[in-house]
Amino acid sequence: MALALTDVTFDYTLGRTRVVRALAGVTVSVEPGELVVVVGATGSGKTTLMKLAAGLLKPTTGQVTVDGKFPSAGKGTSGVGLVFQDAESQLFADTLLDDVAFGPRNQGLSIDEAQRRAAIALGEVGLPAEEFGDRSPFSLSGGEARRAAIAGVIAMQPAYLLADEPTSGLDARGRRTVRELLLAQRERAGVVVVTHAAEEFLAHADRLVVLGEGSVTWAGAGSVAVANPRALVDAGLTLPDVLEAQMLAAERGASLASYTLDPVAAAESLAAAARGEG
Amino acid sequence: MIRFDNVSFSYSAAPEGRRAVDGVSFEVHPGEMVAVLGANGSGKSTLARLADGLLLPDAGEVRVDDVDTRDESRSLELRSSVGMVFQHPDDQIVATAVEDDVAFGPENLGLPREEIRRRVDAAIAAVGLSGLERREPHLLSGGQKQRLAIAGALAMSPRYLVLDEPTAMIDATGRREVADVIASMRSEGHGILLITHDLADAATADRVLVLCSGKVAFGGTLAGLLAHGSDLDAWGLEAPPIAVLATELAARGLGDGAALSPHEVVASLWP
Amino acid sequence: MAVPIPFGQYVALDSPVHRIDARVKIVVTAAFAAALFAVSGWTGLAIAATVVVATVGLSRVPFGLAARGLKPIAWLLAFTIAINALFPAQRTEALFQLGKLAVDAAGLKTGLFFGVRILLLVLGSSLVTLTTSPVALTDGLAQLMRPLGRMRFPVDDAATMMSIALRFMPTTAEEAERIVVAQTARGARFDVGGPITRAKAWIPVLVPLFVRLFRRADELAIAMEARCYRGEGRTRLRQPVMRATDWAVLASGVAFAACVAILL
Repeated sequence: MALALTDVTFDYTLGRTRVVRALAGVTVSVEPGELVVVVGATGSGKTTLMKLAAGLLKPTTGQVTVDGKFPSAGKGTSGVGLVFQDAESQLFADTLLDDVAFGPRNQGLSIDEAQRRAAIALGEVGLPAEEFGDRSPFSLSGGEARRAAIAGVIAMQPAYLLADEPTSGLDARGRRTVRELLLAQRERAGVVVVTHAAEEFLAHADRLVVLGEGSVTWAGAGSVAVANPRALVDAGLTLPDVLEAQMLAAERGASLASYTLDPVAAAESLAAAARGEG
Repeated sequence: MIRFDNVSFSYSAAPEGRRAVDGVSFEVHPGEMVAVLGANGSGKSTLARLADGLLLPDAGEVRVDDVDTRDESRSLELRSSVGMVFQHPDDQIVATAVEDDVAFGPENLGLPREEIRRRVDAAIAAVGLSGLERREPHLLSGGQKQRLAIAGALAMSPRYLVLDEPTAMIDATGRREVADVIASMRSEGHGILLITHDLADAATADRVLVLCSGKVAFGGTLAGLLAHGSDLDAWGLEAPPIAVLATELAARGLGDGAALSPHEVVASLWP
Repeated sequence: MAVPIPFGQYVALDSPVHRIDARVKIVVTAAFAAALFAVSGWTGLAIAATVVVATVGLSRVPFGLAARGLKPIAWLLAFTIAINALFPAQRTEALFQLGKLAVDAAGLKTGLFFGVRILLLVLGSSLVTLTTSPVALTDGLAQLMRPLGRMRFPVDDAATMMSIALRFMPTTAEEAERIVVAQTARGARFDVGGPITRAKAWIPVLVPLFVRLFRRADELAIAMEARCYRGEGRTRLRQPVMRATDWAVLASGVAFAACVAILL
């Protein structure tokens, strides 16, 4: 059971000429209950990766499988849910409930069942249907609209959920809410967060994949990633500040017991190291 | 200087008594950077639009170098002395090529062609977009688009720059590019009013102002703000993890808690 | 990763045709179009065709690319020829039967004549957009409209509007594509069912696209106001200068079109 991209290469073409090789030999997989964080700068092929995973694009070479099966190319697959960057720009219906029910309806469910699932999804993202269901999606604040769009994908009950920059443009509270609701989705789905900054999700990542110009430059368990900051820097990742501080300290000769993303624990171990020398 | 004196503003569509900006006073001097922090809906974007007369205060007054923003006869002068940069890079670029967009402001001022050319070249060089003069805006990266927007503002020869969440929509590389440009504008003597919800953006500000429900909840230095710890959450703000680390170190008697970058933290421990 | 979309039709090359002043290209093309309508015989069309083909060659735009602009009018061409051939103004000799309808000889000839005329018209005018950058084109149009300013026509506003429309076309296309992908991922289908179902399927794309466009228009208006836009009293960075070759092309182009129109 996994969503797996195996040695995938993808070229964008105009007519028969290759314009850009967006991905080259990329292997990524996620299992239900896992969080995989894919990090890459703009232009690293993140969005292409998502479209491939959902079967919206067909790989030039290599394989994409969902639980061992090949998704039908070009049509998307209901087993994989995508939350795109600026997801709120997909909201369109008169009421929030109808909007969130759009995906389930397209899956062929009855109106009642689709709305039931929509109501559950709205509850999960903190926009209870009783209060928000009849509201226009266009009356929501930025953070609410983002969550509503995520609900639209969750309502389709995908086994794998991929989100591209899910917290971009949100304020502190909005970012935290979205992070928590995506982490909660691990109960029933494998979650992939695609982002340019590892900071927000790295602490919870089962695995980290670093993309650089279409290739994987680093891949491994989240705990291994945190323990090897220099390798991540070499792979082109911008380190979370707290981790970078520990790495710089270690490179100055400080002996740290271990690396951590938690600022309080980091303060503890840095303080111990500084005192040990003093 | 830009001077807000007890300024209040409500949108006509807002429920009775709900003020977007409520009794706000502060100043921005040339060469100085003031950061306005606040959660979404705190009124900070409204504040930005009040600063150059795009919105006019219901009560109190806004003055830019002693020009009252309500003085319509001087609105052109006002708007050329306050350059605005907005959040969405795409929603402020009007022309089909970089240099034509930068020229838009000076063209509107009716300046002679040679003067426009001089200002356009200088502004493009100042934001590091030289060589891309003929590039179509939609082919630029997010960071490049925001630098183009800044160049468009600079071409008006403003004394102040008001930037409304200029990096909210762009990636880390773009953020750094934009932050560098803002820093160099400031060192050249421009007064900067930076609107943001990210405390890390305010690291180099001379003063910070926290808006909450339109009111000033805090005014002072960023270090002072970070010392408020628990209040940050109520204001919808979050201390950057590195600031938490520095504060925790200070609590253990190491450093002054003011460090805001990994290098500063390490330097404070091992000087 | 964003794939660079070729902007409009413009093919950025360096050729004698590309270098001609946009205003000259617009005026000469207009004269050419007028001549095409005045021409009454095949000789005239043949000369016009030679000129168009020669200009395409000179512009170094690949013929395939230039011909791509004809795709949307393929139906119009077929329709023009068919209607004239099947329902001529005056019946002459029937060439052959097409079901119950007779294909008329003279009618077919007239249809072909009209068809070739449309073809040359579209090919000729698309040469302007193929060889002129959008910026130069809007600037050129704005300059040509300048005399209208005396008649209180808001020339500056019109020029700014054209420029903004051109500026936002690729952005809007990208946005539309993004929304299509997002809705496809939510299971939307754009290729099934009858025409009404298909049209309805676009609602989830068009609604957010328009909402975004209106919001963008608001933001843009504020950004323009902040940059002192007043719709008048503008000067321009670019002042296209007519060179000797431009004058020569203008004079010979218009004169040639006039000769063809009058003589053939």
